[in-house]
Amino acid sequence: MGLVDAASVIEALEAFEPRYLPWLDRRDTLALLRDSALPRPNSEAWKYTDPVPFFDPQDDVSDRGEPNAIPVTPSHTVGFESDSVRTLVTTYINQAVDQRRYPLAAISYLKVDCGVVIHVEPGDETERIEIGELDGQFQRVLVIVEAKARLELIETTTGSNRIVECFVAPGAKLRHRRLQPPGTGVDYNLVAINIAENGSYSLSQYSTGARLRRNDISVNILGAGAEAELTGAWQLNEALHLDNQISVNHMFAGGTSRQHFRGNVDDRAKSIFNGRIYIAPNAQQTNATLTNRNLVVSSEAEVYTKPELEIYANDVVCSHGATVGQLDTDALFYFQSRGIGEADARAILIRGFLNEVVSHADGRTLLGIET
Amino acid sequence: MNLLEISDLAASVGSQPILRGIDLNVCAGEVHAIMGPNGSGKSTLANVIAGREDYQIDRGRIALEGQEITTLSPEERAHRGLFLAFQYPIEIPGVSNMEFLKAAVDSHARASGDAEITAVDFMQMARSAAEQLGLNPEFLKRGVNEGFSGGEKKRNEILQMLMLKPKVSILDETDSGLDIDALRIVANGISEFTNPTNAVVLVTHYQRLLDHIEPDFVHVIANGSIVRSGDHSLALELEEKGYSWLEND
Repeated sequence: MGLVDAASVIEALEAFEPRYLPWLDRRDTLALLRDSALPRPNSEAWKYTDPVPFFDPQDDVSDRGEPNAIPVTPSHTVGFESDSVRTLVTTYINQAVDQRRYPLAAISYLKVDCGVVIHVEPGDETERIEIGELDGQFQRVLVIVEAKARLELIETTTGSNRIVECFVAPGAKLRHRRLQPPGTGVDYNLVAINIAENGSYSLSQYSTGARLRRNDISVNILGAGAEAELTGAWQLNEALHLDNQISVNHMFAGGTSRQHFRGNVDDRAKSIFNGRIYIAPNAQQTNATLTNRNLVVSSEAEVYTKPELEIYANDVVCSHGATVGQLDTDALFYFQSRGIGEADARAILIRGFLNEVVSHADGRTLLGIET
Repeated sequence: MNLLEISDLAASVGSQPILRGIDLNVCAGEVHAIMGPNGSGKSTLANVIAGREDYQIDRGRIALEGQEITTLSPEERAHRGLFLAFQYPIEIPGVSNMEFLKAAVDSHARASGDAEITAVDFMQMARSAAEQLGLNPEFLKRGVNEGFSGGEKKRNEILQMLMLKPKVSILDETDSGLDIDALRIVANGISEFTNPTNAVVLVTHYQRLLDHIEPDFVHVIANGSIVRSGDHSLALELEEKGYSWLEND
């Protein structure tokens, strides 16, 4: 692995003239990037995924024209350029993203070339909004669910760079379903969520991999009674690569987080999972759980999984577990003894393993689970 | 006609011999009971017949309807009409009982070149089998054996047998874990299933199942070989005297 050439990355960013959202204040982000270290190969956060390709100038967008209009279904989904959302954008953007921790998100902010804002008014109950592919390289999605409002967001992305920021106001509920079909390139994704008191956020993420795919998820629990439930399943084959880095940050007392992630890894695929739970000194009465179970069905597949707990409060309930296993030979024999051939038995057992965390039809279809 | 013929069968796990020369002939229409103390080799025999890979066959042959099956995979043996009811049925969360049963039934249809049964017919068949065994048809939607009581697991094994209609069924301690009522229901299910064209081998520790299903032959295994064969009265004698008098022979 080579090194990221920080000087030339910064130089290019300084020279970059944004044509999309030129009015965004980019100075602080640039200053921050100048000051902070860019990801280094073999550093803890980039131990198993080479960061260098994420900085390739493959995605030069300086000659892009004006952004295309965003496909708008519900009335409150609008493109970033609309004047009516300018205030929302300036108020919320980067409020859930720790740019120092996620420099790729900072770069993505500087180069943003398409976006969508979803704003659900207080008390509004929106059934469902779907976001598909956006027409741009550096995609930004802002989701603001105001107090006691509800939203079900369904997102499909194979895009190479997408930052999703969600704001769940007091008593609001956001259900987020996220599908990531296989990709061929180098993908960077960050989902950053702020949850206020009694707010509830649930993520069901179903993924395959890409040549390199990094999924960062950052959840900030910011009020009593705030809840986050993160569920993810992935299925990787051939040489697909998926690196999930989750950080759930309990910044306030009385929050709850539950994380259940399961992966199936075949052929020469590579799966990385790092699940961090951070509990701040004042975040007493926190209840946080994390599990990651992996099924490895090929001797050449690679799985790296690590729970990471940082607990600074003394009155909390926190549990974690990670396993890497193979198909149960007793279960295989059970199937075979009923006439089910080994290949079919394996496929059914793998689907069953993922099935326990896959809760909706789109995810089941993506992961090849019969409904 | 001989459905199952076992001659001079010896098998081991690692370097540990378990079966030391078993001979057994099972004809169509017969019910056999294989009894014996713990560790005598009863379950090993059942598993070796079904083709479990953990055991190595050292010598001897197993034939189903005159054809050698020792080189066949477990699924091929199943397709030829062999069925093993597990002593400890496996729990498989995430796979519904229905999906499992349908995959099993479909695999048999494919192997014999028949058309796959329609979903409607399959449901009807599964529900009626479940009812026959006193199982709430809702349980078909649950994960395979997931959270089932011991008795439900054993009934589920018999349900699978009723659906797959094997020629030779080997029931490994199907009576263990059953209360008196469940034992009667399961025994009735087995009795109703037996007919002049199939055969059942009951592997059991106790005589109590044999009160409900009268065996034509009773065999006693000790130290990996059959030390005594007889009719039902042998089982009654064992119940009274225990196994030690045979082992000490």
